[in-house]
Amino acid sequence: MWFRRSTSTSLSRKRPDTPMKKIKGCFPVLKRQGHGGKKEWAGILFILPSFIGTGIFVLIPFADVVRRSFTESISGKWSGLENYRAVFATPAFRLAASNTARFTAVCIPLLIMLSLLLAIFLQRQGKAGSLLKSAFLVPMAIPVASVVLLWRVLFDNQGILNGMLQRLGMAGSDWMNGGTAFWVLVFSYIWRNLGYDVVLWMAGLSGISESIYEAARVDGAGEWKCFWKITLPNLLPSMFTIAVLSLLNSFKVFREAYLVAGDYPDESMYMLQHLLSNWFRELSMDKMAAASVINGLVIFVLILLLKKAWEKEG
Amino acid sequence: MRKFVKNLISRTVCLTAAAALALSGLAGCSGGSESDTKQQESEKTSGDGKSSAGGSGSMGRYLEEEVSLPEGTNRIYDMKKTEDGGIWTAVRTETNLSAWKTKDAGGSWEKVYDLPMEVLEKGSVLQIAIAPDGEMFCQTGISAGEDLEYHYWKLDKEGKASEISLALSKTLEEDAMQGMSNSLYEFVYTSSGDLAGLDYAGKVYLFDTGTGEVKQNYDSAEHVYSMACLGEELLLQTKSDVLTVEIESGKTKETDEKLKEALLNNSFAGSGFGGAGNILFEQGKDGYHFYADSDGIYSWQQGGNVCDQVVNGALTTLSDPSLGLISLAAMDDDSFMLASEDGNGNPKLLHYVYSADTPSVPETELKIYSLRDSNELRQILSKFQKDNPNILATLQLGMTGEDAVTASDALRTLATDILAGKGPDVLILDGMPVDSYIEKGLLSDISEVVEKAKEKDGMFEQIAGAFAGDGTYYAVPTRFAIPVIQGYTESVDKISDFKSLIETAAAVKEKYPDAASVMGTMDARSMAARLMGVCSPAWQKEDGTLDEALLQEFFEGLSQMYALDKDYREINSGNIYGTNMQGTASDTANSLESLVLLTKSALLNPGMLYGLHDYSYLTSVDTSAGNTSENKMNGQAADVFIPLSVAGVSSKSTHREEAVGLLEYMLGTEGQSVSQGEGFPVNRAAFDKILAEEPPEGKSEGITISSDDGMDLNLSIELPSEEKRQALKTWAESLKIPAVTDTVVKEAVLEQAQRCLEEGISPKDAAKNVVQKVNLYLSE
Repeated sequence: MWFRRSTSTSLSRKRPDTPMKKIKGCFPVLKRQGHGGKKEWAGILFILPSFIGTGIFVLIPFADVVRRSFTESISGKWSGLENYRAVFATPAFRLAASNTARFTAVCIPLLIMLSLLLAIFLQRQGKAGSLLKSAFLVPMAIPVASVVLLWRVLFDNQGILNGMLQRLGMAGSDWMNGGTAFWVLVFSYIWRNLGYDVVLWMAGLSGISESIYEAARVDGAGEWKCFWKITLPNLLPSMFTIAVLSLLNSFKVFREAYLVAGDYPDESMYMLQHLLSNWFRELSMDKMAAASVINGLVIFVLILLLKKAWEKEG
Repeated sequence: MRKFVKNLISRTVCLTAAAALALSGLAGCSGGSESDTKQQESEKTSGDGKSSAGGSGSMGRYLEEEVSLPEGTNRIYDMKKTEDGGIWTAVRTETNLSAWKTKDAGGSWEKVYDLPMEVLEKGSVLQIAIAPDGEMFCQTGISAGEDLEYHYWKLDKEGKASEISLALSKTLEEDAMQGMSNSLYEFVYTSSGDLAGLDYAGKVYLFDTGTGEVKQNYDSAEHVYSMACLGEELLLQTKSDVLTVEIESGKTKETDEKLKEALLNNSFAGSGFGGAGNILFEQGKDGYHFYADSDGIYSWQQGGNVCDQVVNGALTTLSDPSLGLISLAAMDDDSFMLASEDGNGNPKLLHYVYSADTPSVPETELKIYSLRDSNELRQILSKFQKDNPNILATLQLGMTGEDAVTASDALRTLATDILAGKGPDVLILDGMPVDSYIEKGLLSDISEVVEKAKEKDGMFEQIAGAFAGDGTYYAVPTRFAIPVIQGYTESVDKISDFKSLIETAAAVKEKYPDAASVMGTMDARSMAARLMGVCSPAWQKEDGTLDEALLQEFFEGLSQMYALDKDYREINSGNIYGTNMQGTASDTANSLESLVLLTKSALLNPGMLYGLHDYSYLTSVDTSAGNTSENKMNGQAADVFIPLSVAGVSSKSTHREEAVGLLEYMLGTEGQSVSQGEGFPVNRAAFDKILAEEPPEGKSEGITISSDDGMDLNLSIELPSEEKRQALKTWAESLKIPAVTDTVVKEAVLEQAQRCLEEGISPKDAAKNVVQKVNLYLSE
């Protein structure tokens, strides 16, 4: 919950003249307001429905997953750490984990950088930029089934892409059955999420007062210096949000991968979600639970690290 | 004050919206299971005020009993409740075709008369309809050159016959049948004693049975496929509609919406109202009507809102898919009589009597899960249900074929049910990860059941033990298929493994240059499916992974054989067959290639034998051709069989005793003797029984095929000779190794085979892709 609150704080900030580090002051203010008074109860009541929902649909089921990670799949007998040992001993898990890590490591920085550059470009276009911004959101509105159809038409061995390459006298490739499958997945993820990140960046950019830039220019700062010294530092809180959202969105790319290539795609795009989905099919709830706990811990630690880095910067 | 009111309104709106959202969210959780729905449906009250079935604790349902027919009956033409409250039927026995009547629901039969010779002399009796007063109308057909000459007869209550000339149009107007003489396709007596008839042109008439004159024409914009008479009205079935016409005036009126909906959604929709295998109608008392189909017997009242289920088909023989329905009679004591015939054409007369002190729904529900539907399984369950009236055996299907659910999706849904404690009691494991389920402890030890069946009737032990790695049985194939190859004897004799098969295919192509093709026009998936069974065991290495070199060899061989018919396939691109809309590739060594051996359209017919009927096609071709034969097929592995209907009992079953009982029945002689061409029985006694099958009396099967040069060839399909039957038994006894049946492995191979043969990827790449995918699967 803390993370969502910080998101809205950073993106809907209304006091452009206030330096970013001072915005964080809102936390102590909230705390002070709620302490011991009627408003504290009001605050609790506000978060209670959400908390109950999260408790029932997320926390309690996850606690059950943690319990199951120490038991056998069907009999429910206690198995200690055996499931965790089995998970790490499974070659498919190692492959899926490394692919997922590789995908995240490639996609997140690439997406953040591309979307930032695009956001800055669009920001400078004025009204035309706003229109273009909407155009970049179109991929998000396309149903997954249509995207999958597009993939098949484009990247099939006898698809449009190979057809175009052949016309140009170049050799085609079996894009979905080989190392290229991974990059097709990367492309799909970037294409689909670029607009969303652009919007987030632009929200952050709109919060930076023009007067700061004007003051800097008066002092002789060039474009590059303005970017490094004003734009980037002021966008750091947004970056945390965008990074976390991009990370979470990166898990959704499984839908496309699954619908295009099924349970067993090319090795290079075999992700953790494939493995978990297949384990569920095979009733390997024990290994699935253990892998989910490991996965959850990794994401949790990753977000904590990001938060820590953000606080340091702050 | 104003602000307070404004706040109050805002809060009320917010609270209402929140409550609506919460309720709508929770509403999604309230959906009942399919069985709940069925139970709810069965709890409805029937038209006669009796509860057909009820939930837990409610009492009363119709019980089925088979009653006797006149001795020696081998066919029922029609059955009718007459005005005196008795039953009249027209049946054929070994010696006669006679009219019989009973006043005690089949307890005793009295012969009324034999059909007079003057009728029988005018050809075979095709159809008979009985009027409520006992009068009969009969259609006979006799060969007249290439066509049939039809005669119509009226027989009074004493059996005195008079030939009637019906004023039908003489020839059909349908383009496809132009020139053929027209005749009645269906006919039925109306309550006023006239005859309503439907001809082959799809037109409906009302005849005066005394003169044969047309009293009324019923025009329909669409071709009428079937009809039924209900009191003063006729129900006419067209391709997409059910019409109601008043018999007297000929006016079309609105069909009862509920009835129309029920009929159009019925599994028999489109198959017609009359005759075997269709929906039957009967007029009840007090304005109620009844219809019967495989789901049960239903009642409805004209203008009523619902069709009520009176007899639950799932609890009776009605659910047997092989059962053909002939006639339904609603008796004065609220019981029903149903004339029918089983899958072998044996007539059955079933009596449904209401029992007030029987639970409306059996207290024990046994859930049986199978990925795919199976007529054989349904028939077994129907028989088991009949022997165990206190158990409700429910078949749950993973893939119905009506949606886009894949095997993988279905298995996930199954996993959810099992983990939620709502899993099945008995699993038919075809296409499922059997080894994984055994490893997880999902399947319980059934060694005792298998051993018992072995002791009692004997079993093909190697086949039964396909999944008994350490001698403990957790899953047992109840049936199996035998890989065979048919061709010219000299060619078949040379085929001993996959390599020799490829060589022979190439050799026969050279030897018979006038033959149109080597293996016909089957598609790539079908060709791979026919051959992968006998090769797949060889691919598996000791550690469970696949041998890439052997897979590559398989794809290379496949490519070579596929290439032999490249030209033929291009010419006949419109006739490529083998894979259905669901992507299931046919692997049966069935009639088609077997028949084309006669015309030299194909030279080899590899595939699986699923039953004696398949085999009889092959042996009939051998008999006709004289120079063809078949042999057990070996591929990269030898002595391979295809395990089918692999059954296991869930360790989570709450009805283990009943589940074991069903498994015992499935492995017993009675259950194993059910034969719908979905595999040979693993029980030796049942195998011998099926092998000793004699052709049904008075019935013969034949087929006419046209060769490429336009010549017609007639082939009579006869059961195999004793020698051929012994050969089949020898093959069955020699089978030792189960083919790989795991869906993931099979699908990976078929997918790459298709890419290799049709899209041109190299066998090496195809093998690499399969190995990568399957090894990934195995490493999970």
